Amino acid sequence: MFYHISLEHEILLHPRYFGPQLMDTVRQMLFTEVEGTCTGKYGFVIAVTTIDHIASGMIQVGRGFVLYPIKYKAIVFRPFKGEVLDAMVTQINKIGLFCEIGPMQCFISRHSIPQDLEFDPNSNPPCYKSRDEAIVIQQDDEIRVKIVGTRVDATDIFAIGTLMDDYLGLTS
Amino acid sequence: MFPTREVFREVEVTRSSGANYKVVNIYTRKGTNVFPKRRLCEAVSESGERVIVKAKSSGIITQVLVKVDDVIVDGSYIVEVKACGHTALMGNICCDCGVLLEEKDIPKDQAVSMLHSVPDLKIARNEARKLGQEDIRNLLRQRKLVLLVDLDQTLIHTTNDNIPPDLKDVYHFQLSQGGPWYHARLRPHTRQFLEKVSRLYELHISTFGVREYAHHIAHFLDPDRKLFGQRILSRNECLDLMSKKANLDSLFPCGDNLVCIIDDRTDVWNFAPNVVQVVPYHFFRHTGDINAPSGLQKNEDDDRTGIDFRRIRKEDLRYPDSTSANNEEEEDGKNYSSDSEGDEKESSKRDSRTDGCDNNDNEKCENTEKENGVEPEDTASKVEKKNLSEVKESSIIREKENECKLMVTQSESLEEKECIEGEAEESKDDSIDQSESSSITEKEIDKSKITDESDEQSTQSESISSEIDSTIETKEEIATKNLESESSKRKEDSVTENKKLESIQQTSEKPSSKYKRNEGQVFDVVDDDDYLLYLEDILEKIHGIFFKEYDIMQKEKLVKDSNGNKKELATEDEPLPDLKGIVPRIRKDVLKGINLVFSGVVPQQMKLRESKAYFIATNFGARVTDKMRPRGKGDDQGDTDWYTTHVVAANRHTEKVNAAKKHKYIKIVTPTWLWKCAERWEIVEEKLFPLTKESEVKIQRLPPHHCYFPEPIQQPSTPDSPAGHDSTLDDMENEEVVSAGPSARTRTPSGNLLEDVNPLIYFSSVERTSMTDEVEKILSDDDDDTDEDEGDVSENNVNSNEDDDEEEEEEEEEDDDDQPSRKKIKGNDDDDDEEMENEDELPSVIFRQGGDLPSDDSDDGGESDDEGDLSRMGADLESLLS
Repeated sequence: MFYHISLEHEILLHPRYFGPQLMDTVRQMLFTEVEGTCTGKYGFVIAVTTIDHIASGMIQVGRGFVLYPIKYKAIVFRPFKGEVLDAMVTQINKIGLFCEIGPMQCFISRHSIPQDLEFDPNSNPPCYKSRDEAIVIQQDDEIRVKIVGTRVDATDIFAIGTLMDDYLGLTS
Repeated sequence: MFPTREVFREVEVTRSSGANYKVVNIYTRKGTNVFPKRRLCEAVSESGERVIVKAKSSGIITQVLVKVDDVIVDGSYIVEVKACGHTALMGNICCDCGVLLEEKDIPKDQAVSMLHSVPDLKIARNEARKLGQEDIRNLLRQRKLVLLVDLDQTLIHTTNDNIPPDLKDVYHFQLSQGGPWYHARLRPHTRQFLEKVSRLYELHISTFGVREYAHHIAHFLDPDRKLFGQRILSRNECLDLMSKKANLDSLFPCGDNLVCIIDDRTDVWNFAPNVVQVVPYHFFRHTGDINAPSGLQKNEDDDRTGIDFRRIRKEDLRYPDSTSANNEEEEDGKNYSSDSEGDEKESSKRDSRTDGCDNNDNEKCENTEKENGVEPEDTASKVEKKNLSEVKESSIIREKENECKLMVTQSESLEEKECIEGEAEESKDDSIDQSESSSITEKEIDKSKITDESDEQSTQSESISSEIDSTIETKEEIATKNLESESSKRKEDSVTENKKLESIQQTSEKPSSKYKRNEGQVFDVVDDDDYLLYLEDILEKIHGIFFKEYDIMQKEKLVKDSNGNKKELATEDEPLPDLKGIVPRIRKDVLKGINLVFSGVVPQQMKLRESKAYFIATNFGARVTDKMRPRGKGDDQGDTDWYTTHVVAANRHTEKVNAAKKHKYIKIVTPTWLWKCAERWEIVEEKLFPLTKESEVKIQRLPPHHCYFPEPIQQPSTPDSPAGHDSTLDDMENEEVVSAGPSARTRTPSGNLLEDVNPLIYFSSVERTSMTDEVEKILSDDDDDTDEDEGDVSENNVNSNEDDDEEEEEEEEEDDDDQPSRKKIKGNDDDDDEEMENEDELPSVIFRQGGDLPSDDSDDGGESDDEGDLSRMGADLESLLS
């Protein structure tokens, strides 16, 4: 699910950037340091929308570096159990299929793929397909999955999905 | 899995007790997944309190036991759940039900990772076996086997030395932004090889390179992902950094009966019997296997074979001009052609010719092309080889010095060669015999001329060089060395001509005075490596024999089934032929019926049965005896009617050689013949390796490393296994021929294979403990020269252990630096800890392999972290701002 939330971040800046471009530099650094990262709590930070407040910088004693606490708003993507999402298939094998939901990796075990879809190792690339080949899921296809579980690491979220529900599977 | 039932526990949802609840809403139905805390139903108590009943276990609902408006009390069953077996785990999350498992719930020993690319994904063993069975069935249906393919020095050779750009079949890539550049050269014929072999085998890559490296190369070899697909196993997925064996079990949970392996080294496979060891491919000099596991580097030939691009200066390279024609060649006589077997190269070769030299200088490009009968052929083919060597040498010298005077001789020799090539081809077309004999003569001439030739050349160049540069002498030495190595290559070439009716391109660098950059053109260095053709044959043979046996087994099974009236489906225990048995058996058949006598090959103080030569010969099925057994000397009855067929001799004047000369049927060959047979798995034409005065000089008494096949530790248990055959052979020899053999199994008198196979790398337990003690002592002393001491320790041990000079010599050759000797310590001493290994590894090696180097300021202590951070930040910012 996508959220637009307020977040905070601190920027540590080298004295060499103290100059007329100072605030631009701080903003740039915020974008690079924050966008694309992932935290377990808020999920993936997709994009910073507004910078609400840049507090006055604190010069670090003995170092000359300056610390800027920043409040900003960003769009974040936080997957939840039970959520239905569209994904892109990246890899298919005998154990299941891997797909990507935006920045997040997701795995769907073959037990969670409807029984009428069978793994075909001989086609190139390998695929899951129904007997009559009406449905063929292969690499780069778009599928709709339901997330049944997420594993949250410090810097990444991994999801387990299923296709065993109504209206799940190929969308294209 | 037993079905479990979800029970309604009143205490879990509300404080009141003993109330009746009416179900108002059911949230699940049959067949859906449940996991802990998923809502099952909603109920309302008499007092109007709404409660939600949630699941406590995970699995699939097999039955819903309540209906809307049912009344439930504490202890009522809500649903029946088929619990999830958690058969597939991704880290600690179940891939079927999405439940995060506690550390203690994860069955560690039961899980195997079946995917090459995602080692995190673990499958329960019984589930994996099911999948594996499916794989096997699928493979057999397609009549395919599994082939694990090594990359480095098997199919490619990679370097990160500076090499000229635009070389043919060389692929340049970087693993990371700003990282070192890698240059991977494809072994000749790789593409056809893979294509043909992929029809018989399911190909898997198995390399010690890092994942990005493996994928880069895979993309290079197989842009459409048709050959390898996702089946790429790299260092990142390796379970054991020193051995590739560990992954086999998990990739093939149903056993590796169908698995065949090609690799340039067997030690990483723990000397598995199903490994076909290939001749290492060496293209770039000074570079070995850049991805060899740490501490296991072998660099025996690194500085001797291959092409040295360091010595070809950039400005010396010239790009062939595609506009040239035949008559041009005739005009300036600067090009010569040699026929090539590679069809794929044909077109490019046609294009690749030198244009007229701008300065009319001494430089020329050597180009190969397929030209049948284009050249006038008159000159005697006998001179061919001589000329080749001449050309080679002179070109090497040319690299050193841009000396115009050599031009005359060169163009002469080139012209000659042109003609000769044509003739050689013609004679091939005529008949095998002719070409055989012609190449034999070529060889002889070659040998006789080669020494004179080199003298001649060096004097020539010396006189020239004295005019220009006095320092050239050292370079000349190198040049002559090159000549030597190349002349040994020549042997292979002539063999190929005979065996394959194909000829090989002759090599030489193509220096040129001008570095012309023509777009879209590549610079082709001629590479006479043709091992993949032999390898293809070997693999085809293995495939053929496997399925022959498989078909027989299937037939037998059918007969059995029809007799017993049993209609069994294909069970899991379906018997299969085992490649671990078949491969050694095929190897055993190679020299079957050949009876060898070694002469001057095995040193006197060494027992015949302990020599590598004996080991190789018997491994390939030859019978080796101590003494000559001439034909028809009385005992030509029954089992003993065999007689010596070959004398493998390193010296012309031994008793055995003289005796053998009296019998025409006994072929006298050099040891190289045996090594070649072992490389190619076929009987190489003996006439190509005659023992003459000239060949005697450059005899290789010791086998090259790549044809060293240690006996598999566990003998395959197939009924007609080579083990049985072998022991009877040994017995017989013991009774009748060998007087020295103390026991029937002389090959392993100590019971320890290592000791007998290679006494050099074997240490007794006493020695080992003493070594560990010594190492520990050194370490505790905190001495600076730990490295030296250690090297000495191992070397002393090595020397004390061996009993022959020959071996020692070789040993010392290898032990140029400390690395190999250290490797021995490690290889045999289990007590060695990891730390030492890391210390051993040179930063350059890590860098080559694309690893992270310790930063230079790492010894700054606590400060260093911040510093690193800051500088990184600074760099980031700078990149942003710019």
